[in-house]
Amino acid sequence: MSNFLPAGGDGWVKSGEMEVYDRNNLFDYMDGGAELYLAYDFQKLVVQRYSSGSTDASKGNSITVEIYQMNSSPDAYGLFSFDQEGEMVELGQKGVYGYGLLKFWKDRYLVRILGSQPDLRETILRLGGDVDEKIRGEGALPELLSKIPKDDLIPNSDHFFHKQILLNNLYFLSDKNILNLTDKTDCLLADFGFDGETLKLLLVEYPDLSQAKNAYQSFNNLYLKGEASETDKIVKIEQGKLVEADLKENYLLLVFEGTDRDIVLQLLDSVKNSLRQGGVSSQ
Amino acid sequence: MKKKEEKTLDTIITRRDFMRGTALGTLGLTLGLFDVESLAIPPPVAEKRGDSTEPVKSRTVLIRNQKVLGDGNVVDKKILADMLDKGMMGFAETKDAASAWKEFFHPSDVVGVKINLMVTPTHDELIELIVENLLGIGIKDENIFVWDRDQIGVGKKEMFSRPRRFGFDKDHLNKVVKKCTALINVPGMKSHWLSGVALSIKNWAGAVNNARVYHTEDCCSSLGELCTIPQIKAKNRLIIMDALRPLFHGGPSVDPKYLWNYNGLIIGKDHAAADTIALKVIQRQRSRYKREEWMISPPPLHVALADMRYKVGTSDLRLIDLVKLGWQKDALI
Repeated sequence: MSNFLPAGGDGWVKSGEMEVYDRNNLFDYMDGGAELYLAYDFQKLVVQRYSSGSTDASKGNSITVEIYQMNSSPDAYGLFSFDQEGEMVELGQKGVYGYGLLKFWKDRYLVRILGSQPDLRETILRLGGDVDEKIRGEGALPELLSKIPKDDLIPNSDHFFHKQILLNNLYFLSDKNILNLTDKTDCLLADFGFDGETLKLLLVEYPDLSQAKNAYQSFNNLYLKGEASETDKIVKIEQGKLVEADLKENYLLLVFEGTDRDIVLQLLDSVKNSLRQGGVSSQ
Repeated sequence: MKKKEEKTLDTIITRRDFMRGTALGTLGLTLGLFDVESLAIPPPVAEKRGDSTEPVKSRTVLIRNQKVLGDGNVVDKKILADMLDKGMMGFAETKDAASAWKEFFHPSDVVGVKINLMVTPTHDELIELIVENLLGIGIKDENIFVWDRDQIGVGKKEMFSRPRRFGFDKDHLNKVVKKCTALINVPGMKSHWLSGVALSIKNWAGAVNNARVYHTEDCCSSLGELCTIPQIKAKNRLIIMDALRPLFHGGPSVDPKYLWNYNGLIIGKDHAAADTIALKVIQRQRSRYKREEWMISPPPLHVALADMRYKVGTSDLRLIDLVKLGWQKDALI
């Protein structure tokens, strides 16, 4: 991975030694942030700081390049998808830039390049381009992403993850793991827009049907207070909001934030059709 | 009432509880889900002082200055020094800064300044000013330890390089804590993806080598336990929270679009109170940024639980005597 690091150029030089972290010592780099990366099956991180006009990054402008290696490309995408806000840039397989931070994913890697000042945009993008060129391969997107309908999907609103701690951050449901999420579950959370109404879809793929059924029952009992039934899967909760919970084979489908029954049903039908067809065109 | 809330917390909290608002009682109040006026719970009972019938409130100072951050967000140390002086005087209710520091520390003390090094670190200028103030009241240079995790600097010369490693004891606590007679908690102010916020309570995670046991999937609800570690509980005398340029989303990995210049310090002694003030400011900044309600996620349950379960302060605004000094615009509280 050290081969992926840019040389610098245009007055920018490496500042200090390259740092390398693995699963055992990532906490030394980011303490409580490490769990985020570990939840995406993090393998290795290299960090190199750059400075202009001085070899000491603490003086003057500095740029930090971080390259995270995950175990799989879907997880690299998942880590990227954790926050996709920003200006889209054509780097890696998908990239965003904003306020001095460039982030893109490619193959099994997530690349973060952070400048000490927002006005370092050109240099940051140039360094990002260097890294992009050096990572030769490309990786597959999460399969789950191909299984949701693209019509009405709000661009860049999707988040791919596995575990409860990620769901808690993205859309808090409970302090307890009521969906029985583990590193073996694939989850996709995404927003869909319908006539000014934004619905949130949570699609969870369990290893088998029995685990999906258990999760459905757990959610119905603990979140919906047992109010969902075979005949009516939409439950009206607080603030007039509708929640729908359904199963399709080993997939659990949950829709939140609805206010119109027809629209909620429309989204659920659309997702089920998409699953039935084995997915639609990938992003 | 508190017992009932604790029982609820031991069972399950869901998004629906938050949508119901008042169902969470004091917990919901701490998390900023509704106003005091809408609460149908009894007024809080606080410790009383002497014959007074008024409950003793937890004094917490918020001081801000519009000009403390200059171009490139460089800290104006002179202005920051003035803020720290006035903040300390406001907190200790003294007429000069030295007297304020003497309220908490004695020249014979060995003081551990627990900073935060992680990603959004405590500003160097603040660290330096704290050390200078401790020296100013007669504490010996070799009796000042600036540290986080196991990176320790002795005295002013080492406060930034922090080259020493004292190691951790079998009880997981860094040995520096045991060498000290007094501690100052100097956290940054930031949101945190796993615990909602990382403020003064969570800063003690850097005092132990088993922090992972507190990073749990239930929103890190047990973080308040860190404040009950006897050596910490007995020795911590002051909290000075660096609220100059806080992080309001993400964290601890910084995305600069979620940083903003708040230009403040929060000074107190009560962990739950200081964190309650800070989390309310972060919450309001999030909603201001999105122009709609954008709740801290996950909800920072550990702040309310530090009060309700671990009894290390108050998270009830009605029991916090918030003293706001300096620049008031967009104070968000």
